[in-house]
Amino acid sequence: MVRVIGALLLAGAGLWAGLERGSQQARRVRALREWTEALDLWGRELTYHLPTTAQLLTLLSQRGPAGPGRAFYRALNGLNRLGEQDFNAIWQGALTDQGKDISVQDMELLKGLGIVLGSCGWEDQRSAVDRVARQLERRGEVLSQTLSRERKTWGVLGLSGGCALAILLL
Amino acid sequence: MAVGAFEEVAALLPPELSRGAWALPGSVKRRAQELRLRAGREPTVVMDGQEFPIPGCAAVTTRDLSLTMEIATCSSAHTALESIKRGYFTVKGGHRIGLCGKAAVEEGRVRNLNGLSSLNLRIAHDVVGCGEETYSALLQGGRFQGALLMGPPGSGKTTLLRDLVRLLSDGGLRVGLCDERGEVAALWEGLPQLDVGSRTDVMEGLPKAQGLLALLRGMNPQVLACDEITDPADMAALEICANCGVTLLATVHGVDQADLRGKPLYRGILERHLFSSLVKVSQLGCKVESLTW
Repeated sequence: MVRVIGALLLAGAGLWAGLERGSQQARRVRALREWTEALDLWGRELTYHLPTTAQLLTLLSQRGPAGPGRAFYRALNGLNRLGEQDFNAIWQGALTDQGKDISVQDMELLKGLGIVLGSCGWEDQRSAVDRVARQLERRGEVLSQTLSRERKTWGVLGLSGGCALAILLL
Repeated sequence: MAVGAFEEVAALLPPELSRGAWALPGSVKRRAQELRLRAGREPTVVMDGQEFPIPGCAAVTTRDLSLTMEIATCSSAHTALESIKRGYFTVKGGHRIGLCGKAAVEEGRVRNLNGLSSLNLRIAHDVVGCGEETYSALLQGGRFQGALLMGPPGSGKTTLLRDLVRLLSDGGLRVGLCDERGEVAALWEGLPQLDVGSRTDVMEGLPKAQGLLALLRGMNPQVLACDEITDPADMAALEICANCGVTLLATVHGVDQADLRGKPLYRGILERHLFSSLVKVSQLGCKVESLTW
């Protein structure tokens, strides 16, 4: 009986590991979609209202998706340190807690906005923001398609691996 | 001048330069007119038209200039660029920052702020009450009949114009102020940074001819004020406003009524009787006289 329970636990652990891999991918897709949405909102506000950077960051932290909202909120607070740091440094610091669900390559794209935001005309800023938004959107779509193909595969592989291990040990 | 105005401007500097500016004695801060930053040179303070280096500061770097702009615009160059095309922009407190250097221009439009070589931080100089005596002298039977303020550059015409606008406005008149270059009211995020009175409507940035007519048509003013009549279009707009029963207050460059008669543009002021009084402004004071043709 104990062996059967052990075998069931092993199989379940395998299934869980497989599904967890799928969940990580799903979180990354969600993060990319949130950032795409936030950057699109940023671009629209620049175009139609031409707000100051402080006004933009306030709006994005309140109305944008929650994940990027935290970064915008930190950047907004960081404006108090202008002079001690330039805005690029403040922006890099604001992104530090975004690394969990964003790949290194995606993070580099977001960090690259630091030298553009607030330092040139609104058209150039809009272009830069749109460019990054479209790249993140494409990556999110590719990842989403991969995820839907691989989710079942990972689940089955995990379950199979767990069962195989259980059989070996039994 | 209040030390507070100097310190507002000094706060726009990066820490290393700001420390030097803050360390200046109070007597210097009160008389300071400008802080000047030039890449590769020591920062200077301008007093009474002369420049003096700020002690204890290293040479200004291009990074210092960029940082100053970031601080002054709160990292919002995109909102300041429209003003920067004109070579300056206004910050909170009514202070003005003039820029020099290399701008990235495309199809005649400034696209970027990179390549700054120097900045001129002009400290706003508001002298509330300087127009009291002139205001009293201009009232005829208790009514303001219109006035032209005339003086050479740097004589204080704009400062006097601002205070007369304030006095007329707080005295109960609706005043429309056409502030083409933002020197009179110095709007910042919609708020006048300098006192122009409680019943004054400010139009900033529009060419005077357009601004005056927009105020006339939209704001129902009793008095219309503008700084520096320099263009035939300004004159034409002023005449339209006068014909609509609005009293006028404006400034021109010149020394006396002979100057007005000698310049075709200003001769029209006399011929059309747009103003009833002339105020001659100089460093020594103001003198009110009747305008005659």
